[in-house]
Amino acid sequence: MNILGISAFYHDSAACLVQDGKIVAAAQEERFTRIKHDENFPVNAVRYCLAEGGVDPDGLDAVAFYDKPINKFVRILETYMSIAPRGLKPYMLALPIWMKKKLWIPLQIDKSLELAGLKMPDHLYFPEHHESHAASAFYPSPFESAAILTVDGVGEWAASTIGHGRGREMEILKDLKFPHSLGLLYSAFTYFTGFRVNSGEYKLMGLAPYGEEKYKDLILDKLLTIRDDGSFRLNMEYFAYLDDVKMTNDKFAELFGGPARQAESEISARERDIAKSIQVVTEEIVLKMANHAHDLTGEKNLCMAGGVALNCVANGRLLREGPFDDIWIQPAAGDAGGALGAALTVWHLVEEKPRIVVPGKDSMQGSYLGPDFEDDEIEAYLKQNGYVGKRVEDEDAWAKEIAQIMADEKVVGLCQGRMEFGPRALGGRSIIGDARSSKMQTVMNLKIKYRESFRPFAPSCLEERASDFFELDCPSPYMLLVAPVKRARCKGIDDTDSVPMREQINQLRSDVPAITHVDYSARVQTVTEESNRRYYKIIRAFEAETGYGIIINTSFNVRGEPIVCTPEDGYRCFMRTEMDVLVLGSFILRKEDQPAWDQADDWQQEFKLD
Amino acid sequence: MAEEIYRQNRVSDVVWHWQKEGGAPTPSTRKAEIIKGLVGIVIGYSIAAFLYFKKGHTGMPVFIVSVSTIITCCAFFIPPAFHRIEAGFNRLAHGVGVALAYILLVPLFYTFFVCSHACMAVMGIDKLKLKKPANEETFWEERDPITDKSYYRKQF
Ligand SMILES: [Fe+2]
Repeated sequence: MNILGISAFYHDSAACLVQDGKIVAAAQEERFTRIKHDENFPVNAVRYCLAEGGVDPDGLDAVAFYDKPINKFVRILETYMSIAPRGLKPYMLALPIWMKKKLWIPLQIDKSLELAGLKMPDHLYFPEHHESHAASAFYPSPFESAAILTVDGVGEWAASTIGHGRGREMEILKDLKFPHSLGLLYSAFTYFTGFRVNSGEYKLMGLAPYGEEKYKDLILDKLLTIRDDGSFRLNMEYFAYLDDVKMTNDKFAELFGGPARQAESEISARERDIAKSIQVVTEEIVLKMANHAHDLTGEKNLCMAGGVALNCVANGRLLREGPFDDIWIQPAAGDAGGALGAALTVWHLVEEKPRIVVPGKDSMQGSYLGPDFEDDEIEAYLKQNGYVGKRVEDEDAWAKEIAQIMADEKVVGLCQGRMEFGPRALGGRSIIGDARSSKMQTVMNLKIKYRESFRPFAPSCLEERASDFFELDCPSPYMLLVAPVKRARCKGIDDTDSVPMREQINQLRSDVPAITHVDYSARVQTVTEESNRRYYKIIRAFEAETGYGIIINTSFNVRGEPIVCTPEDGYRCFMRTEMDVLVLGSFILRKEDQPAWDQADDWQQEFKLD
Repeated sequence: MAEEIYRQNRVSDVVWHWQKEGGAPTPSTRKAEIIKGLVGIVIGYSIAAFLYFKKGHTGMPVFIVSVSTIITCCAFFIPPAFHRIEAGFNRLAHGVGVALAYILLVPLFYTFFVCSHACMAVMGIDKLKLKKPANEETFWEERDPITDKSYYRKQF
């Protein structure tokens, strides 16, 4: 049975194909259209998924859309009823789009299937938004039963839910409703600190360790009322997202001593302290919610999804301080993952098909669910364009050569195997380098990614070496956990009380400085041979070369650009930046061997900065 | 000569258009363009016929017939020109749409939504829970289990 899952029209639209319960393909539309967080109907992602699954023109059995559009529309109407005569501006922006597109989902699905050369199936399903998130968290998890926590901006009405999954059964027990949303609270601070909403939240998280929690009490006192079970109410007098097209209002600015920071302007101590304060508040709410989910379900495992589940600092704290033995987070925790959850809801809850759980192993296949490209095709493409690359068929020799290049402090763009589903690059579409290098963070930030210098890089580490580098006793295959770097590896850690945190930015903080954040933590990806053989071999070869089974891994893109998808995207990004070497499948391309790059390539014009 | 005979597999063919400059249009896109061209000529000729036979005009029908013939020819034989014409029409339609949206939606906002708000205020309905919370022990709301599978077929 072929079930197509679709998420669209908010941010990060995506498609997913589930064949007889197996996740066969999943991808975000942005990777194909090259528009970051593309929210349009995922016509290209649908075509890809159906091609990957080899689905015949009449072979699609069901389509599942990730939310209930009419309920969402009703919520929007009731919001305007509640706030009118305020709110004309967002009303005028929202209503025409609803009339034109969002209310006609079956029609949109029909059109995109026609483009893919397929017949519309008889069965069309609409699970609820947070049910889709919950399903994406629980069904692929390695747990037979678990508590489920979903936290995001908003779905239909729900903004956070607690659920319970057992076998193929899953049930939402409680929810917190719009506008009292942890995701929107975090986004409000993202906006206020000058980053883009729905895109810059991870920057706010990255900025937090540079600040102090000076505003925590103010936030707790003025902006929200929290109960011990993690439920809360926002004081909407300070927020503008109901009646305006911005997140916060003048009263909010007054509370924090001045207007919102202008994008791209200098980041001051105020923004750093605000970032730290809201991060701590978020962590405490998530911890309380998780405690309540534990009390309600009595489960020892937790599954999480929704945009807030991408807050890996909160996740790491939850793992260390929370009541659960183990947690599993959907790697595509944002709305893209809703496509997957919707399809799995149909398979398990509507079709009542059993769920097969392999303890300790999830069914996400490393999240490598996107397209792959054959070496012969890459060769033909390189020849056609006069690009120069060396084909290294032997995997060990290939890995060794890449490891040697990295050990020479060169930066490598890696485009091999299937593309990742979700916001993280996990070795399929990554830029990699030497984690021991003291200059690597600056080089990568300023010459390759063209982004803010405070932004830290994450490590990919052999799973069996993770405990040598980090205070981490469980795998983190999806880079969704932040863990402290082993104290013995840290330098100057005893001085942290005497030196202001912001002065530590350029300090050498450990023997793997490029991945050690200012607070001596790292966002870890653990890699196994089973999850990604070629990537594992690169890191193992690097260990043989240097004694360190750990490398830098950052997404293969420049600032504002979606992660690369095809070898052509990879080559373009390679030539536009100061990257030294590009790996396309079995091919290794060195910058100095390439013909002059004469394409008009002002990427800053092409991509909207995030 | 491998590059000349290389044939993309089904997946690559869908996601990577390096063998087709600018990504060749799919057959269904082409078909849609031709249909649009035909619809255009039918509408154009109908309006021209109406103006000529019913209203007795001559200049305008000739102009309309000429324009719709050119557009249809472009749809059949010069797709890039047809795309430009279509984009122009889309811009015009967008402008008309925006104007219409304001004409229809602004009065609706100030009548229906403002009145609804007044009614809700009189009846003490606080759907968004905007009032300062009292002494509720929790803000979590219980959910009823889903027992009917037809729930999943509905958009609400
Ligand atoms: Fe969501």
